[in-house]
Amino acid sequence: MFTNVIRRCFVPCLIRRSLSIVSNNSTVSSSPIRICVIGSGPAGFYLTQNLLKLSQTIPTTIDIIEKAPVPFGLVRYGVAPDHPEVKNVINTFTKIAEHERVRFIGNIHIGKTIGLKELQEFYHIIVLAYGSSVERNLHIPGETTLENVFSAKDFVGWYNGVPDNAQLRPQLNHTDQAIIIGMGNVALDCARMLLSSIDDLAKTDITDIALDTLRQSRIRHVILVARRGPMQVSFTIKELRELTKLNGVQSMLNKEDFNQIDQIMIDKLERPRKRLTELMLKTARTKQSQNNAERFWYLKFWRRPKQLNGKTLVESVDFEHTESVANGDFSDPNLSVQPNGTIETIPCGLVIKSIGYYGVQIDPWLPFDTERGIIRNRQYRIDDRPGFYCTGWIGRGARGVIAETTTESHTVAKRIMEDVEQGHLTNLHDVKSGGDGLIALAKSRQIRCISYEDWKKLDAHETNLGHTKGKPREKILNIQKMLELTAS
Amino acid sequence: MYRLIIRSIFNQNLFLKRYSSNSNNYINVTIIDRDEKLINAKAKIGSNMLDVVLDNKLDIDGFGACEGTLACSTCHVVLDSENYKTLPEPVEEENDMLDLAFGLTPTSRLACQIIVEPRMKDWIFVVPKDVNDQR
Repeated sequence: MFTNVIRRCFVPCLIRRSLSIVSNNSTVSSSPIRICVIGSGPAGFYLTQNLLKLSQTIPTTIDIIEKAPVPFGLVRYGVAPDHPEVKNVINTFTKIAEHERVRFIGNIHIGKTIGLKELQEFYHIIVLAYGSSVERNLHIPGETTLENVFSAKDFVGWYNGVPDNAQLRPQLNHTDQAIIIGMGNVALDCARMLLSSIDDLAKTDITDIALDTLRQSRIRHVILVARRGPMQVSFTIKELRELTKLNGVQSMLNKEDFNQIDQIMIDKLERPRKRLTELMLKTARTKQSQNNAERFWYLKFWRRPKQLNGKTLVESVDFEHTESVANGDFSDPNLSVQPNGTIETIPCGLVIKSIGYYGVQIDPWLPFDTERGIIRNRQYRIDDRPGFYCTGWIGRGARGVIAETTTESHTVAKRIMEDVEQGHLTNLHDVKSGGDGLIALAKSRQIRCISYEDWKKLDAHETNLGHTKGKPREKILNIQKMLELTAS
Repeated sequence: MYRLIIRSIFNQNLFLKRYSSNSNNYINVTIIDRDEKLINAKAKIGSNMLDVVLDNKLDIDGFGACEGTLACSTCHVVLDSENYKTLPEPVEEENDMLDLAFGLTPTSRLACQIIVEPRMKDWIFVVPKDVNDQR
């Protein structure tokens, strides 16, 4: 009887204990968890920062992979030259990149040099943070056939030194009127570049090519045109305020466009939209008296582009006037509009389309929503791909400033670490080589990876070159040259 | 001998005066971080509250990303309403950035815009929780 008791109580107890010893040993793995973050813009860096904070007691390494030879994504190539304070985040990113558990690996094109599935050999967890780099198009006649019609992505790339846009050659000295289609922050950036004083721009990190072209520009009127009304604008207040305060530039908003907005409507709005609308109202209603104004910017609402006209260069744009659909609410952010039959032709010598971006499917194995241009995911976990996550624009759509991406990265990091701690990822005990394996594979495919130290050499070169011209930096525009300078 | 004693007393007084006037450059404030930990910080008069966080080497994630240039909202702090009312109005540009702050309250300010004054002795500044802390 005694032996029965022993067998029934003691043995299971022993078994449980020995099992727990085994499992304890295997969680105290000598091999760290390898995390790979694809994309080195704000999404990638802020996620890494949060992962570092949450993984202090779990051995982890984080590699930040970047397609370009240089880090920082849109902070380098998107943020306007006259917004150097926004680029201060680079100092935070540098501290993250130089953390002992972090490694920056540049010049690796995931989906080309190496497939996403292959990456799993080296990493336990992969986070896609590569943003949205393709511009939306209008799909109207003349858009692709006429000269001097650019997407904002290319125009911004041109003044910001994106190698692929170095040869853009916008012509700005044969016309005094430009049309920008779209009313987001990127549209305002383009307007500001066209209207700012050259002396101000000369002190920024705008490329020399762009500076020279803008110096000879004869553009004096920049018209931003949107399909809907003032309550549907996408730009934010800081950027709008900046434009209203630009030296020598007069804001030309129509009072009539704001007649339907009353205090009741305004009071119902959330604070950011409320303050933005109030600023537009104030700008429209205040008698502008900048007597020395030589340049002008306009907001024209309720106009959808139908056709671009011209012989070789663009000469005008036909717009169809729109109105809200039946029962549409003037202040509805998702307001739908329909044409009302009127067509208007606005002359111009330059057209910039700034109507948004979408992401690309970098690998066919990635579940992708082609219509929305985002990776299919539920709460940042990529559909049917355990161990794969996404953060930033590629997971939620190309909207929002850096602050929103920063906020989101807290949640994504928490989600990933929850999955780690609750045992939802089954491969964590496998030993993986992380960056060492990836770099060796890349080398075998004739790709030389760029480390953060390599970037710093190029960084120093660009900074020194800029200082000789009174600029914070002069960006190198040629990929080959960039690679050479990272090796010196 | 007497001269020596008198001189050393005189010098002591001077030393004390100098020391106490130096200590007048700092006041004590309390900062409550995101884990609700109370931190006593020395705040230099004339500096701003972001400087105070940095000078005291407080470990608050992402605080002050744009380094005090009104290009972000990461130095968001909440004050009690009595103290808040005594601060000078925020400039428009600060309000523009506060628009983006997570968990904005009627007594929120950006730390980089609060200039430390002697009257702020023992004030409490709360660093509000971030998104993931809400869960």
